[in-house]
Amino acid sequence: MGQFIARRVLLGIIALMLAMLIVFSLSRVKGDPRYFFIGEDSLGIDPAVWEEWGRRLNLDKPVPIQFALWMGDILTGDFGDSVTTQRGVLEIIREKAPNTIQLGIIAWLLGTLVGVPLGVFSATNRGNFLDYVLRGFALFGQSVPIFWLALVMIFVFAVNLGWLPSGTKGEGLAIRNFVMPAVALAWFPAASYLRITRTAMLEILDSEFVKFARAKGVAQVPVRWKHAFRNAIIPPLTLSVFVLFGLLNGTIIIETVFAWPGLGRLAIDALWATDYPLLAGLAIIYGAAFVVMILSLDIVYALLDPRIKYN
Amino acid sequence: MEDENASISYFLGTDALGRDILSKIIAGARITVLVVVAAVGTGVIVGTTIGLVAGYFGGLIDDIVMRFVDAWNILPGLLIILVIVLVLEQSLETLIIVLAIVSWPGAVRLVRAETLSLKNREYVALARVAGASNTRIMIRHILPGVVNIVIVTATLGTGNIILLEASLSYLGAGIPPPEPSWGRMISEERQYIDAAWWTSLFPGLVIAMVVMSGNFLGDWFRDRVDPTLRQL
Amino acid sequence: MKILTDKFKRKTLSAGLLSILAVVAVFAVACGGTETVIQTVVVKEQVPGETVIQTVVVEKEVQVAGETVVQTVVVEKEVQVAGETVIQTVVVEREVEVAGQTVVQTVVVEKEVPVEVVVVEEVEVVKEVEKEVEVVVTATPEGMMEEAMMEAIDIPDSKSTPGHVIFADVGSALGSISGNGGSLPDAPLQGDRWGAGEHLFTPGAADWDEPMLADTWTLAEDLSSVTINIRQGVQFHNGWGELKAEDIAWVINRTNPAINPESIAASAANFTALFGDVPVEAIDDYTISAQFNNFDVRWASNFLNQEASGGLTSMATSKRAFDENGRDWLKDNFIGTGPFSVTDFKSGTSVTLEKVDYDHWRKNAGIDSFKVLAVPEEFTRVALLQNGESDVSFIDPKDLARMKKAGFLEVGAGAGIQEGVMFPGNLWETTNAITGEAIDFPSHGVFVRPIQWVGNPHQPEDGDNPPGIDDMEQARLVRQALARSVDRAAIVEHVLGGVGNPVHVTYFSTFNPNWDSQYEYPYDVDAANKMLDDAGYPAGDNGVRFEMPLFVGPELGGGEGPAGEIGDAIAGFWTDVGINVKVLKYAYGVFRPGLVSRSTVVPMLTSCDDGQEAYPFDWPKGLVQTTLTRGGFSCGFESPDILEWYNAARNEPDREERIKINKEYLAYMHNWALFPGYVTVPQAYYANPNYIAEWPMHIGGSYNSPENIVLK
Repeated sequence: MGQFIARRVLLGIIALMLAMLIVFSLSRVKGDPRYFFIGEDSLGIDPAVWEEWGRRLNLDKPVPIQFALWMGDILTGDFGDSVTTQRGVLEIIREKAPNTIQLGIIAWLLGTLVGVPLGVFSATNRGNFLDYVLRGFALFGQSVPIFWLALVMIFVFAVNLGWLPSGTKGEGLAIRNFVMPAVALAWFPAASYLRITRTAMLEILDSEFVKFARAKGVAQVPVRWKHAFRNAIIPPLTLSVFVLFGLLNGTIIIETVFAWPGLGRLAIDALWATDYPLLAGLAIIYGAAFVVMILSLDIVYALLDPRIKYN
Repeated sequence: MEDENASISYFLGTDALGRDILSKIIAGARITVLVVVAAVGTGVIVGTTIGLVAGYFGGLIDDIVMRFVDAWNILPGLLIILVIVLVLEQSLETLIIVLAIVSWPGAVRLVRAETLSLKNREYVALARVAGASNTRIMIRHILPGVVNIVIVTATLGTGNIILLEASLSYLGAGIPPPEPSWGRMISEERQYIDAAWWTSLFPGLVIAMVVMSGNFLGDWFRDRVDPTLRQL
Repeated sequence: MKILTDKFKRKTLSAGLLSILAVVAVFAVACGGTETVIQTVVVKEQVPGETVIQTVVVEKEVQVAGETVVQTVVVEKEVQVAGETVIQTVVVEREVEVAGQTVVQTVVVEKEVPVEVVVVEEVEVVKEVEKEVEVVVTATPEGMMEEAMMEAIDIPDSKSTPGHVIFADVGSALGSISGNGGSLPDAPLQGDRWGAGEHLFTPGAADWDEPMLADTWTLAEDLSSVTINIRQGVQFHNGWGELKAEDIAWVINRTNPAINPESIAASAANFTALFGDVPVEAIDDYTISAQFNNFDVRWASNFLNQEASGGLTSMATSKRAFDENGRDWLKDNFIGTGPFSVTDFKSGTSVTLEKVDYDHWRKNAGIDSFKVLAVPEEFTRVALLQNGESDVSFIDPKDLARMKKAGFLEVGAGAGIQEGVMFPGNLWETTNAITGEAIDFPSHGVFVRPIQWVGNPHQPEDGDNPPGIDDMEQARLVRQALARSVDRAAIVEHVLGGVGNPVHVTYFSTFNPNWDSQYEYPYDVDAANKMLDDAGYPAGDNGVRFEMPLFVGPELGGGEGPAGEIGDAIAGFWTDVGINVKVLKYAYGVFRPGLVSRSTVVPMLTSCDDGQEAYPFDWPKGLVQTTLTRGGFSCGFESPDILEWYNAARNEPDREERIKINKEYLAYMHNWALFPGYVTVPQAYYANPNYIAEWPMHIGGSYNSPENIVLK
């Protein structure tokens, strides 16, 4: 087990370093990277400052050395300053992250709590009218562009019915402000959960040991939940990590639509301002967070499913 | 002034500039289908090739390839795509490349796994004994075994690519004008959701229908390919 | 059995959806070839009165460059007697024989002719375009859904606590380069917009250099220095004491990169030019003295001014606060002197300001607090205003007309950004104005091959000139044609919803009394075509004369305005005169290096720094069109004549003389068409009239002076 985890950690670190290489390469695609580090000035930049930036980015050294030095900075926690705001990248991310994490976790819970039970329900009612309705919902949920859904929600629930605020996070803990962004974010994952749980449940319900339990005379409900669901949990569990990570992509759009002050908005702002240090910081922090999530998932797997072997 | 929200000549109404929505959807279909097919096609072909090579030869090549796939997977995809669009010129070609980049790691993973299980089969060993070259074994003996699963996932992935293009259009990084695209239509007409819902609804529905068709098609293929799932 | 029916149903469903997919795919494939797009545009208006219907059909056969063009002109007029204007709708049908194919083009032209009758027309135009499918996405008439949209908006009651005003802005300035964090002078934030910061000067009703924190000042006879007495008794926020001369001197020196290399204030280089490396000094508590390095008449009206566009300088801030707490602290804290103090700042998200709790020296704010929210999505900003969740929202130009009609209150600083197309690569100076060194032209990449819109004065014959026309004249004709082939009024109408206005020479507002209509570029396709023919670029078999890129910047950019659509529209008009335009939309950061190194020849849609509708006529123009900014930003072209006028104007204390100089510059720019303007995009805000009675602002680049807000 220890060896298994060690290997996983090593792989995670390698992946993270290669991810840094990808991010680094992007800044060098169009030649001189200084244009991504120095803000727009309208009348020109002092040649001395230009040279200074060349030194700071180690442009006089060969590219592999530049990368190594850059990676060294990042590993020691120095992500540099954002070009547009002159504030530390980590500081900015730390400031915005709670908003995205709150929204992401609420959406994640919402998606899970709606999607998984409906998946079980759909599986145990296979072929029913309800099954079709639910599967229809799942298909539709995976088929509409998320920004369009969000705009329609604003139009219906904020503008027309006036039930919910149109956007922004509001003051303090404004629960009403969470509703629409969270639902819009959870929509796609809920549909994915439903489909995956349904498939997994059907597979297990068809398996020998469930049939055996049934033959033994165990009642329907315990069979469903105790025997079948416990074994069908692995696919949705795997999915859940990817959903959580996928939500990060979703927040880029949802936070733009709802003026939500989180990392997604930050990413878009940084993108349009060509704020490379901030973009790189975001990508790497996201990557590191995901590596940690996958590692935890591996460990949970190992605890849950005795069939998984470590080597 | 009449709202042209439905009539015989404008089956799906007209937009803010009086253009027929149906014509635009049809015109958009061409470009959207082109982009999606080109992107998925490129991604899958590149991914399959890399996956085949990695799985077949194993060892160092396999390790390097898989670590890059891992690295790609841990990066926030949409953000990286947007950065790539930012540093390259925004054009149809860039978009196809970017969407292809999205599809390749999945294909690599899948094909590699299948290749690993196929390369130790007896018939492959026999082919090797018979003196077939590595290239020949990969193309003639292993590829046919993985092609089904690749087609299934590619079809299932098509819907996501269309949705991704729509999201990119919304963020201003999608198919560049003047080419009409569905994502762009929804994005441009979003300000009229309140007054003229049909201008963005119908493109939205078309996207939903095509994505659904892709999913159905994928499911159907999968049932054909993998009989154990057929009755679920 | 059950499984069987299950499968059956599923197959039917799959089949149904598959067939839809198939139909779509077939359509898509079918569209690949020749296609007929039918567009019908119905324009109806009802005006009571006597009407006369006139129908005129004219058929002309025109011989153009060996081709026979049949023009059918159908004019349908419904004339109402006793009015003032006539709207003529002219439908021109052309049959053009091109390489064996017949192309029917229908062009709809709407003209407004001043006559003493009103014409109301009912015209049905059926447009049939038979050619390679290319759905035209540029403007065609007319807003079909206006009525429906009007009904959709009601004026709500404000949800704000009385006395508080919530403002939904695009937010790109909330914590970005021109609006950096805190009151740090070398990275200024637009605290002045929010009524938090103040400057030495402010734009007044008559002049741009009305004193604010300055009280009196004395300019040396030889324009070498200035002494400024500052106002006494002005207090800093949060108990940081009285404003002193040393605070002002410190702010200016901190902004000047020649003294503080850390400065990243936008246009900081202006300060290097103005003051050189001689620091501004505080003589006593209330007097500062500054030596000019290169005098510029805008020193007070622009450089040390409240409305310094793009944040030329920072608001007055406390030196003591900096000395005690350091640079990083000042990034997050605001120590200004305005009627509001910043109580909460979340970079990129929101800023909250509260009225100061003492009697302010200049103006006591009419409201208790003011909160600016960054909302990038236009739809959401409109929804917030419609719901009463915001009291003022920034509105995109295309929504302006409907917000106005719905009865929302328009507020603004009269700001408008001029969008023109500059033509980089026209490097006509032979000496570097900074270093005095000769510029080695043969090595310049821009002249390596003949480029249609780039004139080469160093080599008058560059290989593709028609007889008797040198390269400068050839390129001038091309640029003139590009300036004349665009219907500016149509772009204003259809892209900007009728709220912008045309511009002809960028940097010059057509509303300025000194503007002369002889410098307009009339929309004249025939003239443009002739100029392009004369320049030696005849249309090829496919109707294309040459190809040209046009850079318009990123597509959305978080709501940076309609530049993309304007670019598309201009490109559409240029296509009509046979220029195949490729509209480039990518990040400015990628385009910029070419401008800085003076190596690009790609035309760009931009306001190029000074294209602000509000800027006075007499300000020195064209600094960024000379070698004076080598090593930095420029409009991409450089002219020795512009250098001369710029230097003359910046040293000329007399306004009338400066106007005279700028008129020469205007005539030159009009003639050489290096930077033709197209439209002005208004910066407009709409307020909830049930809550806000008025919000007067001083003239400026965006919004300002929230202390002037009056509630109902």
